Amino acid sequence: MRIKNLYIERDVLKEKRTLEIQNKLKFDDIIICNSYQEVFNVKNQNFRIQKKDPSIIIARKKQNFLLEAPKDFSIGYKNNYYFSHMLNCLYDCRYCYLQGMFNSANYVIFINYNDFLECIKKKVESSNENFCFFSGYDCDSLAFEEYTGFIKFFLDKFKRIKNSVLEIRSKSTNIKCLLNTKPTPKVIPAFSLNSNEEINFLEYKTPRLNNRIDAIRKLQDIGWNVGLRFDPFIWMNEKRNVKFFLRDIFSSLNEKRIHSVTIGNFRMPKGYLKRILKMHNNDSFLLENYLKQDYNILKDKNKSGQDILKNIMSSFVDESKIYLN
Amino acid sequence: MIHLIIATFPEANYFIKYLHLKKIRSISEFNVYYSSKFTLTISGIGKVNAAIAVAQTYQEFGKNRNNNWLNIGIAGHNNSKLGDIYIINKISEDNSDKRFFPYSPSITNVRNNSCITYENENNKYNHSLSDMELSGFFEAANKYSYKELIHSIKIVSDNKYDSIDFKDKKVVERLFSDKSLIFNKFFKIIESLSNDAINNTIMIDRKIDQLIGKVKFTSSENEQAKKLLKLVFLKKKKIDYDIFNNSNNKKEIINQLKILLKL
Repeated sequence: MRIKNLYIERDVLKEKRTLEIQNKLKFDDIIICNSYQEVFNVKNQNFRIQKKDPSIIIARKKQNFLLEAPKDFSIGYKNNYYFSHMLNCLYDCRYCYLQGMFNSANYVIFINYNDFLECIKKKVESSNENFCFFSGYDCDSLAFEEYTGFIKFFLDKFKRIKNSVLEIRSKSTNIKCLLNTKPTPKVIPAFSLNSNEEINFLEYKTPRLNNRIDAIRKLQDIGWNVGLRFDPFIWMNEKRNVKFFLRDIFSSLNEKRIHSVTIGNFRMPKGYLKRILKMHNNDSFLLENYLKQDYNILKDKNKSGQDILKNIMSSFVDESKIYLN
Repeated sequence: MIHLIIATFPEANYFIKYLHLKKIRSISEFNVYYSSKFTLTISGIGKVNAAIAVAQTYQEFGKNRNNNWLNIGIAGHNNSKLGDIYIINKISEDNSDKRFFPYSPSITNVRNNSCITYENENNKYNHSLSDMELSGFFEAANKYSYKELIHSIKIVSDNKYDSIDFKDKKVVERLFSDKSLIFNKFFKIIESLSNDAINNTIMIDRKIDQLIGKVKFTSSENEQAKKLLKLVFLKKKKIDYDIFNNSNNKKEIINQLKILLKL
């Protein structure tokens, strides 16, 4: 993979994992920084220019390893936390809130994987209740696996942690690390799905729907229980029937090996949306949603849309597996 | 627009001639030159001068945000050959913890390097380039423009073993004229970067301004109508232009646009 520059925090320059990642990448220059924040967080950067030719920053995460997931964000477990070993994503989805949240489109890789694991262990040991940990909130969990080896590091170790499951959310078809591992119910590979029309229009650089379905099927075939994530589910062509789209998906998959299905809407804090609109001032999808938020019609429309979708979906998959996020 | 900030006249002279720049006689604080696409300000030596030159240029040329800014100049280096050219990818200050990381667009056969900005002249050669303006230039320009549109190119004028004759203006000028092909390429690259940064909807915006101009909206209605109209045009919806001919129709216009957009 070719990137623009490789920034490395001075403290992690000689770490084994830094060198491994460095050896797998092609780049113009290595630039040493004291902290990833002095490259990533500075104001007045242009996300769009960086997105065209991004750099990678290798860093050590120092705090906030685990964060509580939003209240509605659940696949049936009592306690829900998310974590990100990476910031930013290889893909370029028009609806992605990362564009509004971060000043930079460069990728940050935190190499102290063990610290994430220790935090998860501590959290679980502090209670007898069950936990779900979501990976892939501020990045795509699988897209960079070839370079980070994060999932490979985590899978075996996570199996031994009691009362907890790990969701690995992705749009990537890069499933080699999962195919090479014995399936476990404690880890849920989960794939975001939308129709090809929406993928073309809104999910730039992502795999086609049929490739994502193929990846899911391959994982199911060897025993993985997979999550399906229609989150955000975006349906732009009102003349087409959602039912046919869902039927095509579910007919290709093994229902028994579907762990859960979530339905979510396009939702984004207004401040983020405003910021993203400045970058994409000719994007009708973003402007329409901005106006819908302005006129307070987004929430009601979304709620009814979710209910309708859940209703249709329950004819393909057990309703108890469907969650509205 | 590309704004060049250059410390001394001998360093600037090649660009004044090559880019056919004209002097603005009415500015007394700095020597400022311009054409339709470029401006050039001779800042004088030192980071404070460089920062003030950026601010003056910004004020003088219409306070337009997100223009390209480029600092060009000579610099010292430990062992690079005289005349070697570098694009700067990291800037530090000798006397503070400040660090900046320019975007540093790539050009074939031109290396990138870091640069340390010093307060005073010295002989502290090292593997970074040494100059006296860059940090001041970058920090000031970043107030007015995206980091990705602020650049610096340095040409080695002296090293541990050798130096050009700084008093010979022609020798200094030749350092730059010898690299004309590289500068040409670089100007094109940074121009295309700024085009990427600014999405052009000029035609739509003009059309919207024409329609809105016919009606006396309040400022909040004005904002609403602008956004609704933009969405109408982006979605290529057919619109009845007659509604804009009656300026009493303010609320009706907004309502009709909302209905058209199913909002």
